[in-house]
Formats: sequence, structure tokens, C-alpha cells
Amino acid sequence: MIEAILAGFLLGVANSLRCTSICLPILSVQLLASKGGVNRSLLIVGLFSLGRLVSYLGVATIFCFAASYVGVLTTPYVRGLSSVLLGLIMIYYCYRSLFGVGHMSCRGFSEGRFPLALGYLTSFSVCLPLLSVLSVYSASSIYSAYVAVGMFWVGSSILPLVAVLPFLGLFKLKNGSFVERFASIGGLASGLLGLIFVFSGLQMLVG
Amino acid sequence: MLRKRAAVAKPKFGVDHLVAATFVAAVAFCLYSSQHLLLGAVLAPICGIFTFLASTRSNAYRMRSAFVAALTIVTWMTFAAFLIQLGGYLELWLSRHMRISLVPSALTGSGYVSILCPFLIPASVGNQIYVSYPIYVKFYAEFPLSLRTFLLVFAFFMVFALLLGKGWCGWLCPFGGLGEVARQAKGFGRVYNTLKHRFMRLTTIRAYVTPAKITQLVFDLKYAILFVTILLSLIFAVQWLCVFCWAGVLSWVSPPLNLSIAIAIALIFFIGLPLISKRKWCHFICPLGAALSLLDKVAPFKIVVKKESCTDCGLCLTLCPTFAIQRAAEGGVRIIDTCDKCLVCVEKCPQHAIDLKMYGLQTEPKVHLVTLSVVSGLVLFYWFVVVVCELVLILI
Repeated sequence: MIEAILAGFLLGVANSLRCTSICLPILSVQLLASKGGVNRSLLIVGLFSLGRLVSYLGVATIFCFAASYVGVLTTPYVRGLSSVLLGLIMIYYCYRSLFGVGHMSCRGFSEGRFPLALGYLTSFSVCLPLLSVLSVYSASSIYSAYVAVGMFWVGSSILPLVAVLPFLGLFKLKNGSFVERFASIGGLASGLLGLIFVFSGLQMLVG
Repeated sequence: MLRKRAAVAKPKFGVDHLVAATFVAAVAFCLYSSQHLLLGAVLAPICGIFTFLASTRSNAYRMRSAFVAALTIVTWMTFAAFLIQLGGYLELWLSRHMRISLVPSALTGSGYVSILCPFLIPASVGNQIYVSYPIYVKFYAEFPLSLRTFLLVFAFFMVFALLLGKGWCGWLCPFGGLGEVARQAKGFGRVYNTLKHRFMRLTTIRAYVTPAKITQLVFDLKYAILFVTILLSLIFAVQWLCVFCWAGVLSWVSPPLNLSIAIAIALIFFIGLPLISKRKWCHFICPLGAALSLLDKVAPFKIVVKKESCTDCGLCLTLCPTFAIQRAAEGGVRIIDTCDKCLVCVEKCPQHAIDLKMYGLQTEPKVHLVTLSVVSGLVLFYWFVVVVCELVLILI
């Protein structure tokens, strides 16, 4: 078990730069648009990370019980579809944060479904280090596979969390044009990123 | 009444104007005579006289327009020369010469810079790059000659950007200048105006007719684009600013389809948009403009409104080509971050309520702005000017 913990964690750390490059844009625009204080920002980051963990555990489950279907997850169709979905959610996020009633907050879990879904979809494309961890530890037991994947999630979350630190609670919810302006820039950036994700997803689907 | 012109002030000049003109002439001569003595000898008096006139006369905005038009024409002539001489071999040639690796390809497999770009070359800090101008042009040079030269260019770039701030867009940018040139060409302007009135009414965004929320979003869009480009450059390890640049699209040309897309984007974004009334591309979309708006916060040149003199006539709102003047909540007008210091408002205000200020100096600021802009243009557009002169010489 110790070996699974260490291997998962170290591989996660090794892969964290790639995770940062993917998660940082999505997470930073969310935090910017939410106009949240520290608590709300932490909640968004937490839900986003939870989404990633759920995604990883899902992949681990598939790997343990239906290993022959894991290849499907790496096909361009699945990756394209997840990218399109991710983009559409971000565009909707943009719309809600700019024109919706109230801003995208995480006061209740219902409002937090967006970071959760984004976290889930961000980690939906299976990376090689994760597959290598799973291929080793799924053979022994499903629990060791879960532990290894969980530690992979911990290891790969460190750098993204450090990278989003400047965005945590930077903009407290108060009536200031400066805060409003940063929030609208974050919302617009979310929409633009969403368009790019949709476009790249469609490219993958069309081939 | 609104169009009432300000009384034309008599030109006033002093020693500082003469010193500035001499300084600019000396810079032009020293810089360009190293390449061609004749070129230095021709450019020096032209630049000196231009500086003197632009800083003493009351129509500096027209002189600025002419200056940016000249830079634009030089840049586009170089670009056109490349395309014409490469002709059908464009893609083949570009695949061999145009892409210059800035980083070891084993690391990222990317990192290219277009040889036409005077702005993004500094993005290759720490890596020596060599660029050769193509075969038909007699002039052949490697740029930069060494890492030291490159760092010198980078330092110039940063210093000019910090000093001019958003003034860069108004005085130097050849992309925004394209629209100005087209609007000033009478025949073309007429055709385009017809198009504009028929099809482009939706794009005529005026701060005082659109809802405040939408207006603010439009003004913030450029910052969002800048933010996204920075984030995406982290993901893909490429210079995403090139996506927004007509010269940068040439780096997309590996398959033919991409070339078509690149040309289409270039046509839409860099020919179509700049020709729309005023400078919407520059002030609502361009990420470089957004970055310069941020730098403008620390730039020494500021356009300020003297509230006690302002009669709220609204003339400046109509005249400003950059949507930079808005009605203030407390009355009068205020200057926002899209101001590119074109000086139209300063020179047209009938009450002289808008003024150019330079923090840190009590002297006439216009002469410093003009001098800095002309010297920046001479330094940063050096290769464009040299290539065009070579072409002219070959044609002669």
C-alpha cells in the first residue's frame, strides 16, 4: 500500500505541470468572475478539485472492471466531446456571470455544480502517467488502485493550487467598479476560453 | 455649433524645439547612414523638420496621422514585397526560411517567430535568432547580429513601450495605421463609407447610446483577450499573440488549408476591422493594445481635462477617434484607458480644456512626445525602412 501511495503521489507531482497548464486557465477565470472572497474562492477550488477526483476515480473503476473499454476514453471522439461540453459550460458560465441574476457563486451546492462539472471534464482525458499507475495497481486490488489514483490526484493538485493562490480572495464582493471590472473581464475570458474549447473539440470530432 | 473649430493658435517655438529637431535628425543620420549614407542624409532632415513642425504647429494630430501612415505604408510594402517575390513558392519558402526556431525543438516542438515582426522578436529572450531577408532583395543581413544586439533591441522596445504607453498605438502601430490610411484615401474612403453605413451600423458603438453594462463589457473585451492569450500561451507554449497579428498568421502555413484560414483571418481582422469607423479593433479587441493600456498607467504622458474650463459642449466626444472620452458622472468629460494620445481633443477643444501633461517635467510636453515617437519609429522600424529603400533602389 505504501508503494501505491508513494508511486501515485510522485507520478502526480511529476505530471503536475501539465495539470497546471490545463487547470489554471479554467480555474483562474472562474475565480476572477466569481468576485469571491477567500472562502468562496476556496469552495470553488475545492469543488473543482473534487470534480477532478471523481473523474480519476471513475477512470480507475472503469480500468478495474472493464479494462478493455479504457481505450475508448482516449479516442478523439470522447476527448472532443468532453472538450465541447467543457467549452459550452464555460460559455454558459460567462453568460451567467455577466448577465445572470446574481453572480456565479458557490453558496449552495447547486451553484457549485459548475466548478464540479468543469473539474470533472478537465480531467476526463486520460493521461499516460495515470494509465501507468492504474495498469500497475489495478492488478492487485481495486482499493490499491483507488489509493494510487487518489494520491496521484493529491500530487498533481499541489502545483495548480499554488498557481491559483494569487486569485484566491483577491476580489472581495463589494460594490466597487474595480472589482466589477475584474469580474467582467473574468467572465469574458471564460466565454472566450469556452469558444476555443468548443472549436478544438469540434476539430477533434470532425478529425 | 459642435463642429466649431478652435481659434488657430500661432506657432510658437523655442530652443527646446530646435534641440529636439536636431536630436532626431542626428539619430536618423547615425542610424541609417550605417546602412546607406544617402538614406541617412535624406531621412535626417526629413525627420528633423517633421519633429520641429509637429511639435510647434497646432495640428500635431494631422502630423501624427501622416507619421503613422508612413510607418504603415513602409511595413505593408515590406510585407507585400515578401509575398510578391515569393509568389507560388510561398509555402515552400516559408517552410524553409520563415519559421525560425527560438527554442530547442526537442523541448517543445514549437516556438517560432515571423521574420516580419518587430514586436514579438523580443519574445525570444535568451535565444539567438538569425533572420535573413530573401534573395531578390539585394540587402542581406542577419538580425540580430548577436545576442547583445538582440537584447539592445529588446531594451529599446521595452523603454519605448513604457514611455509611450498607449501612445504607441496612436503614433507607431502599423496595424491601426492601416485603417487611418484607408480612411484618408479619398476614393477608397468613399467606397468604404458606403459599406460602413449599409452594413456596419451595428459596430458603431458610442459610449453615450449603448447601455452602460454592454459598453463596459465592450471596453473590457481587450483585457479578457489579453488574459486568455497569456493563459493559452502557457498551455500550448506558443506565442498566441501571433494569432491576432496579420504577420503572425504566416507562421500557421504548414498545410494549405491553414494558409487559407490564415489569409481569411488576416483579411477579416487586419483589413476589414481597422477600416470600420474609428479604431474599434485597436481599442476593443487588440491584446497588444490592452497590454499597452496597462503600461499606460505608469507612462509619463497623460491627457487631462481641466474641469473648470470645460463647458461640456461634447465636441471632444464626437472627435475622439478612440472612444477615450466619456461623460463623467459628476459632469464634464473624463479620459479613459483607450486614449492613444493622438492630440485631436487637445488641439480642437474650443475652450482649451483638454491638455497633454508629462509627469516629472514642467516644460512643453508635446515636443517630448513627438521626439520620443519619431525616435521610436526610426529605431523599431529600421529594417522595414531599409528593405523598402532597397526595393526602391532596385526598381530605379
